[in-house]
Amino acid sequence: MKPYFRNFLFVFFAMLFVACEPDEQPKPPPAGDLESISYDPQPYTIEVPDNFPNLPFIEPGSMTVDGVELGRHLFYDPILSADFTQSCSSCHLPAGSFTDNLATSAGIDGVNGTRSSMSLLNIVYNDEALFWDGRAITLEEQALLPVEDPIELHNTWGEVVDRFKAHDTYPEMFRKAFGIKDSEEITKELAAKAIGQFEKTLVSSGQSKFDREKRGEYFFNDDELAGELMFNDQTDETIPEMECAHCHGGELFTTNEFFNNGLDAANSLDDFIDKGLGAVSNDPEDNGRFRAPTLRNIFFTAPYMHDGRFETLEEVIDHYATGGHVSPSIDGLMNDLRNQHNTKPVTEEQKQQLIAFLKTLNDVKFMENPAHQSPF
Amino acid sequence: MYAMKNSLILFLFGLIIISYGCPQEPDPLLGGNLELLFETDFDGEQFFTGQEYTFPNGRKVKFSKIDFFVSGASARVDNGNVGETVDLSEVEFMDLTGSAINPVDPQDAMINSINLPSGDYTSLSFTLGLTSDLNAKTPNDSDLGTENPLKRSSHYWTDWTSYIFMKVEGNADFNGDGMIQGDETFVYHTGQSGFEQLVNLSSDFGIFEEQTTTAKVGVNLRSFFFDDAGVERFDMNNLRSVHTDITVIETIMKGAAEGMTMKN
Repeated sequence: MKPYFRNFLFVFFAMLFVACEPDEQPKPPPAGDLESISYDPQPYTIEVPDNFPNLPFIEPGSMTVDGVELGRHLFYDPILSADFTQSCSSCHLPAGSFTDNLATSAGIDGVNGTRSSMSLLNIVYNDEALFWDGRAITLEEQALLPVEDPIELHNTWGEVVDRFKAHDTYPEMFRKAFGIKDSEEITKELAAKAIGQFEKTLVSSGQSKFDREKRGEYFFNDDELAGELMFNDQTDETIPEMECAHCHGGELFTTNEFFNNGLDAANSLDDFIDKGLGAVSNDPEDNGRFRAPTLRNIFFTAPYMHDGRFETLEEVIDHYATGGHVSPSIDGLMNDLRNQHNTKPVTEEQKQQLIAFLKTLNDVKFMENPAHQSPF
Repeated sequence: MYAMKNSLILFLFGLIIISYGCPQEPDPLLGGNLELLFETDFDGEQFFTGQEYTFPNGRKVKFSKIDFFVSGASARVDNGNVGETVDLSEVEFMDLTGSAINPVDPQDAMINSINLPSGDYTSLSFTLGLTSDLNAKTPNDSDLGTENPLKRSSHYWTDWTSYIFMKVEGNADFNGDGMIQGDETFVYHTGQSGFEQLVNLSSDFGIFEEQTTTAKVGVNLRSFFFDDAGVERFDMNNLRSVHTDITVIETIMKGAAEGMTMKN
């Protein structure tokens, strides 16, 4: 080889190497027990009904087929609880539209909490805050809390992660979901990410009467139509406005905002036994406010309200029709309903019409979706 | 010597290759930036949710919610001898509610415009509410990006086929006993095309190359309900909750627009 050409090659490649190499050299992979398992992440696409809004921003690549499958297993696996008896699904069952149909739920020690479990239907759309009181912002943040709550799963994440590492199948599933090379890389954060991925798939089927009506595949009967008009305040002066859509509007039937809907009387902002959002925000003006849940599948999620105090939809509508109890933070629309009750009370027939409309939100196909069921 | 000369030539050749072959640095910042903050007050008093204020007629009032859309914001810049109108933002949602313990987070009530031409900005204009083309959209429209303010379903009212341009809620001492009670609430939700308000304000701020200028639009809540002479714009006591009375909707929107000024 001529010196000229040899020098050319040497200088050329040396400069390219120096100038274009990344800031940090990749470190050699540690010897891991999972490296022999293939890692081939396939993106998971969430299907939403045509009449639904676009999904909120989801980090590209953050949802994979294997991640969702791992999340489904973890969601249903009692390995999360100290005594192997309860899982996320203990309070969020498909048959209850991912509630447990109890006023309050007992944890593994038999101690009841103070709040009713919330439906997870369309939870992917909630970009406000989670729980009745908004104490978690993301699903991943939320998923971490029940495991260590002494009145829920009463475990520690250290213990749970150790169980994952020693499990027959979870190390492989974590590998396929997240590309970890070693079982020691399993963390509670990865577990929460997987559970969050599964929960984000819990989207309406689009087969409710309401959805089909929006697509022109179904026509409301007279009662359902009358109920819809009252729900949206599309009434003339002879028919009461029920003010529902202010808090439960849009295709998702919730704004995911926080309201005091007059459940408890209070003379001052300090008088609320359960302060709701106020206990989280520390803003006294938020005392007595709770997140408005979705009304989709509401028929299947009894009992109602944050403490499950109402057993039936009739009781719920009686509460709203009469305007509830006055307190310093009560929503102004509840006062409107109370005033309306004094002049133009809602009739029993109108209450049943409103319920008929609410039942058009029944989505049995969502609850029966095989992809949402327990893998065990 | 021959090899050294060749190496020098090759070194220069390598430099050329590198300069074209490697990723380029992003272009330097062009123009300057503007942070246009919307800041609520009550006749000059700092605003806090839940804090009591007094209307000109002596009625005590406190607010629990104040938010609105701003669309089509633009500004006039004098740059030497040539004037130019610069678009600032298509649509923004201003949440001025804040809390009883913290003032409003500026990030919740700001138009953030970058790469504006430098110069003296002498006027500002925007629509309080939504321009009719924007109001023709719905939160479900597939062309809305995930962060678009028009995705806010809590501010869309199906009955109107319109967005709710503004929400103002609170309590007032309607019975005149000197106390604000829980059942003395007001709820005003305004909207529908035709009731949006064009706001034109004289401004006096400069934009400078590679710098961020902060300017403030003051929003005087008193002006929503009382004019400059202290006359109540409509009978709040008998119209405590409005989302269908178009006369009141128009009155509140005009009052809100009149209450907006540039602040120093």
